Amino acid sequence: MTTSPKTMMAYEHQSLLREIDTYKDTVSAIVAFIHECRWDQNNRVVNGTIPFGVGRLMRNAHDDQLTPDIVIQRHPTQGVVAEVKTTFPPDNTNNRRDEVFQQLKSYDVELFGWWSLNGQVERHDIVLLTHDSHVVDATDHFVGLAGKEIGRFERNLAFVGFYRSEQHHSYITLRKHSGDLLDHEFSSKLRRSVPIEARHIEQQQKKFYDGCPPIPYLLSLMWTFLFPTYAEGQQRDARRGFTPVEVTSDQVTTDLQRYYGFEPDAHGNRGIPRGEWIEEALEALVSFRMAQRGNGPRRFVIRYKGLTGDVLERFGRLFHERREKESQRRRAPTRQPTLFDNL
Amino acid sequence: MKELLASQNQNELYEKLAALGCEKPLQIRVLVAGSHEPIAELISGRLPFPLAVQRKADFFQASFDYEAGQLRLNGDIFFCRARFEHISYAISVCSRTVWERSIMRLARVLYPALIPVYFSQGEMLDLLERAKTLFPNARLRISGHTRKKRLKSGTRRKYESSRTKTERPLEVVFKEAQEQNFWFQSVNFDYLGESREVEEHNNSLPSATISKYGAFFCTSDFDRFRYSILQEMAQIGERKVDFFSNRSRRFVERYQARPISITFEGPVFSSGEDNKHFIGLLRKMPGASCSVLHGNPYVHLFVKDRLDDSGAELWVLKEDEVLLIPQLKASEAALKRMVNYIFEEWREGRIDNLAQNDDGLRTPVAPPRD
Repeated sequence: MTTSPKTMMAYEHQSLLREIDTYKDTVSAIVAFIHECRWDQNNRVVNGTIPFGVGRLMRNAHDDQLTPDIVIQRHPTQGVVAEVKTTFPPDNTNNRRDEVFQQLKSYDVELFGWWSLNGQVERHDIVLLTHDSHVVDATDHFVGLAGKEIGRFERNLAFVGFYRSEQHHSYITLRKHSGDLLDHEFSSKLRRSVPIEARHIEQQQKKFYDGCPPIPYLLSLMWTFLFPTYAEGQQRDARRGFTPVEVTSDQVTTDLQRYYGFEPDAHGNRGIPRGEWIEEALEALVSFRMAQRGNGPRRFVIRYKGLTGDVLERFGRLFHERREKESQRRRAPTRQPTLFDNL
Repeated sequence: MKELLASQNQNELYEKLAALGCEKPLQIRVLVAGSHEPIAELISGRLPFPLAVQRKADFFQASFDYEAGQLRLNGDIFFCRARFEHISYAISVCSRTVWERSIMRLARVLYPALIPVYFSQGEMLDLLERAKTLFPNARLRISGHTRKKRLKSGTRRKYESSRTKTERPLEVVFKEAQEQNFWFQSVNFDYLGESREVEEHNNSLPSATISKYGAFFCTSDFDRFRYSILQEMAQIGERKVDFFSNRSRRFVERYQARPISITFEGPVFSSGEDNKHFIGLLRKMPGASCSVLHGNPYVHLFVKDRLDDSGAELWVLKEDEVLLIPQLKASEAALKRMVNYIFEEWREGRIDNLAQNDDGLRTPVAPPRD
């Protein structure tokens, strides 16, 4: 039984671009927030001694693992944990909005994993970073939680919105909508809004946060900028029209963390992007016949060649077709073939 | 020509070239190009036609003689080092046909190891201004030029190009081109005596050509040109090789980006239509691929030179600026090609080297002249 291609959903490139925009905006907001937290207003420099982690592993008193999107220790005895929800759920169907506050509430305890000898700080703030158009919804929902357990916070909970604005320059602006922070000066500055030129943020070359990016975006980045470095000096297979490049997903992960993400360290930062996202992307290449599995776990041979046209669109289309085929396979009724099927 | 071939060192070659006067269609033709190794050492293994290379004391001499269709192409090329570390001259006394069909073909094959030198319109004008002063009792006259104008999208033809003979002064020709949005690919000029007596005395005043792509031709007086125009061309070339070098993020401390900012006079990205037009041009860049991640209100592209796999991110985040962020592999040749393409297809701008300070703010430092 074959599936008619007519039943496939048509590929919509704009929808992929929107998804990538959301992902990129989240990364930009994280970079902007970290930048502001480390900014030394008196000396007008970034204070490089302020430690931070993206997707850093923290623990509570019960030794449960927690991974806030951002952890920053602005002071030896004070820190900030922030969760980024670019899109705050539009309603509370399936308690989706409540879940956000449950997650924030889980940070409202003594946390371990700070940059101190005992891994603790005296106090920390909790921040919800969300798109500016959603911050009112988030605040209102929190007000509505008054009297409930997830609406009661012992520590400061601040709602910070971010938005991209375009006039003559492109800016990412951070603005605290409500709540307070331990550092009143910093809190007041955020309340008045902080615009940061987008070019300053983009030059940091951070492309990932602790959430899996759209796979076609990840593949475009790898194929356009990373794989050419692996193909250097490798013999091109003229007959097959590509350069076979042996890689391991660990190697690709390490390189992407080094050049476009956050490197792991011995102090609890696990490294972004995560190995499993890279493996998923490499598996996608195998299904596109642009790579094959190598000898051994997490080994791949990339069939590297320069691609013409819009590489992102090509990967978007291939990925969409793959997903459609998989979903059709899942939908198709399984039936034992009979002797007469081919007659 | 046999005399030239007998030269044992670069000085001797230059002396013989200085004494040479060429008759049409021959000219002394020089390509000014950048490379990190001597050109002759780049040649091994990637020849588009048979070439016999001979090492002389301080230069290389290469001879070719082959059939190309109905044509028999032969000639000699002298590869000499200029006084700058990364700049060489490829010199030949030949016709335009041999130059285009053989020597320029060889140069294209050697890309990206051979880094082309592109001149902006301002630099071409400066070079011509310099040429004006070379012969004290003679005046420079523009005798012709090849110029191009990009046609608006929607028309079948991409460019309007013209090869014009003229006798107009230098400033007038450039001013008119700027007003009409043309840019010069090459400008031919000659020298006229200021009086009949001078003209008779200097009956062998040269004619010459400067091209935007780093070529210089003259019929005689090689020495005068070498010490002025060619040296200036080499200096500009060296400055540009330096500017575009070492931008691959792999080899920069902490893998920091070393972005190139191209600024334009006034807002050139003030509407969605401007962005769309610009993206359309980048998508058509020959030998490159372009992925569009965002088109409006800001522009974000991944651009890759497919000739050598170099890549850069391109951002438009200001109305008057294109930001090129070289990526993990980013050769000088590819970055120059991208910038030159933007200059030719969009408009010329000013390139700045943006340094990243600790405060995360960028300060322009040492912009190269353009």
